[in-house]
Amino acid sequence: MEFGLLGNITFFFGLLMIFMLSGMPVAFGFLTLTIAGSFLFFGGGSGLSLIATNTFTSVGQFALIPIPLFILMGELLMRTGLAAKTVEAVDLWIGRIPGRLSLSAVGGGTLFGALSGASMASVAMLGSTLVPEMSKRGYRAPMSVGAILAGGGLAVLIPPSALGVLLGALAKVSISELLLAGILPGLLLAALYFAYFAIRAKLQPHLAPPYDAPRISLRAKLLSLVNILPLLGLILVVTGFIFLGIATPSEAAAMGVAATLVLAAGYRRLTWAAVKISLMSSLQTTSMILLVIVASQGFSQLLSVTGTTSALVSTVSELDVHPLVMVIIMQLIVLLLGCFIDTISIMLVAIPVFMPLVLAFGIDPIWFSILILVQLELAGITPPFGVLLFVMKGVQQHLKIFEIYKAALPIVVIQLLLVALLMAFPAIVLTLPDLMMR
Amino acid sequence: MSVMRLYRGYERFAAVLAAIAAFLILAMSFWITYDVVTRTLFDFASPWAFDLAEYALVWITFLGAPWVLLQDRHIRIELLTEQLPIGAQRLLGIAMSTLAFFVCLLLAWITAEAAIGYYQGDAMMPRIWRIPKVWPYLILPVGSVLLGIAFVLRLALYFTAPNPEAALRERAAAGQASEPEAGAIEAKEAL
Repeated sequence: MEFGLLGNITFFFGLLMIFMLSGMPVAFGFLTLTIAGSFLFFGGGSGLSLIATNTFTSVGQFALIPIPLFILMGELLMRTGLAAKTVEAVDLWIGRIPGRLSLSAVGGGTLFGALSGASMASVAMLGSTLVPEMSKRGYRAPMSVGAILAGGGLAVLIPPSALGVLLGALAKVSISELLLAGILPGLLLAALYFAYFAIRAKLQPHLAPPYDAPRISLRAKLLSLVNILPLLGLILVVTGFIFLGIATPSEAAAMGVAATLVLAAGYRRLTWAAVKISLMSSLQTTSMILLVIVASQGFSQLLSVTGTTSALVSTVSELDVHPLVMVIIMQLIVLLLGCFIDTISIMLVAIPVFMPLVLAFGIDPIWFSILILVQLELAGITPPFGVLLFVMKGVQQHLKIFEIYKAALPIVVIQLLLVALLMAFPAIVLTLPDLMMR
Repeated sequence: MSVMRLYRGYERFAAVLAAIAAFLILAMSFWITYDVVTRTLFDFASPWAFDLAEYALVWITFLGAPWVLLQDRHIRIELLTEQLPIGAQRLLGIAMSTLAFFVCLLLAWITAEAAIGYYQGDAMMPRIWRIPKVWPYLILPVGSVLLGIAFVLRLALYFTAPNPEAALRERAAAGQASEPEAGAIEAKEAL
C-alpha cells in the first residue's frame, strides 16, 4: 500500500504516540506497530516471517553484550558499597576551599557515576547521604542539590556507560569509539561544574558558608588514595583495553565483571545478599532494555523498507539548510521530548529517524551521538519532568519541588554551554576515538 | 482462587526463570573472560564462547521479560494515564493488554513456525560452532507464550482490581530490586 511520506509518518508516529500515551509498555507498543505495519504494507506473509528472524538477530548481537555486563558491574560496585568509597576519598582530598562540600559532591558523583554507570542510583545515593551533611553545614539547595544533580548526570558520559552502548547499537556506530568519545566531554563537564561551584561559593558565601574542615594529614590522604586505587584501576583497565584494541567492549565488560568480583572479595565486601540483589536488579534492567531493542529494530526496519526513511532524507535534504542547523534542530527535538518521556523511549523513537539524516548530511555520527547523549542526560534534569529531579525529591522529601527546579537550572545552563563547546570544537569529542588503536 | 493469588503464583514461577536468566548474565561474563584469557595467553580460542554469548542474550531477554512485565517494570509512559479517572484507566488498560496479548500470541505463532521449520529441516547454525538452529530459537515461542499468559493475568487484574494502576504500582514496589534506595543504604553504611 502507498500513503506517501506524510501518510507514512502520520501512520507510524501517530500510532506509536497513541500506544505510548495509552500506557502500553513501550516495547509492546513498538511490536504492535511493527505487526500492524507488516499487515498493512505487505499483507502479512513475508513481513511477518521477517519479524520472526529479526527478533533473534536484533538482540543476539555480540555488540550488545556490554549492556548487561556494564549494568551488572555497576550494580556490584554499588551494592557491595565499593563505589561509595570513592566519595569518601574525594572528600578527603578537597582542601579548605569555598564550597568544598559541593566540589566534593561533584567529584564524588563523577567517580561514583562512572563506576555505577547509573544516574538515578548516583543521585539517590548522594542525595540521601550528602544533602543532610551539607544542610547541617548551612549549604543551601543551589549548592547542595545542584552539585549532586550535576555529578549524577555525568554517569551517562563517562564509560563504562550502558546507555552509551545502547545508543551506539541503535545508531549503528562503533561502540568502542563512542565510549572513548565520551571521556573528554565528561571530564570537561566535571571541570566546568567545579569552576561554577567554586566561583559561586566565593561570590555568595551565604549559600555555602565556609567552615573549619578538619585538617587531613597527607598520610591519611595517601592512604585513602591507595584504598580506592584498585577501583580507579578498574575503570582505567576496562577503558584502556578498549582504547588499546586489546579487547572489544564486550570482552572488556566481561573482564570488568570478573575483576569487580575479585575486588569485592579483596575488600571483604562480597556477600551473597549483595550478589543476589545485583544479579536480579541487572536482569530487570537488561531484560527491559533488550526487549525494547527487539521491538524497535522492527520499527526502524519497517521505516526503511516502506521507503519512509529515504523519502524523509531526500525531502529534508532539499530544504537546503546548513548541517549545523539540522544538528541543532535534532537536539532541540530530543530536549523537547525529554520534558515528557524517558531517555530510552526518546532514543528509540528519534535515533532511527535521525541517523539516516546525519549520514546524508555528512555529519560525523560519533560526534552527533555524543551531543545526543548530553541532551539525553540533560533531559533527566530539565524541569518540569526530569526524572532525576523526582529521584532527588524522593530522597529529600522536605525540599519543595520548586527549590529543586531552581537548583537544577544553572546545571542545565552549564550543560548547554558544554554542548556549545562541543559544537564549536568537535575535537574534544573526536580526539580519543581517533587515537584509538585499531 | 482469586486473581491476585493466581497473579502472584505465576510471578513466583516467572521469578525462577528470571533467576536463571540472571545467572546466565554472570556465567556469560565468566566464559567470555575465560575465552579472552586463554586466547591471549595460550593462543587457544574457543569459538563457542562468542556464539553462546549471542544466544544467551536472546534467552536472557525472553526468560526475564515475563517477570519484568508482571512487576510492571517494562518502561511505559504514565504521564497521561495517571491523570485519568480510574474507570478510564481501567478501560485503557484492558484495551492495551488485550492488544498486547494478541501481539504475543502472533509472535509465538510465527516464531514457533520458524522453529518447527528449523527442527524438521535439521537446520544448523551457520557458525563454526555447529549446533541445531532450533535450540537457540526455542526461547522465542516459549517466551512469547509466557509473556502472553502474563498479559492475560494483567488483563484479569485490570478487570477485577478496585484500582488497577495502584495494584500494578504495588507489584512494582514489591519487587524493587532495582530501586536505588537499597544501594543507598549500603553506601550509607560504607560512608
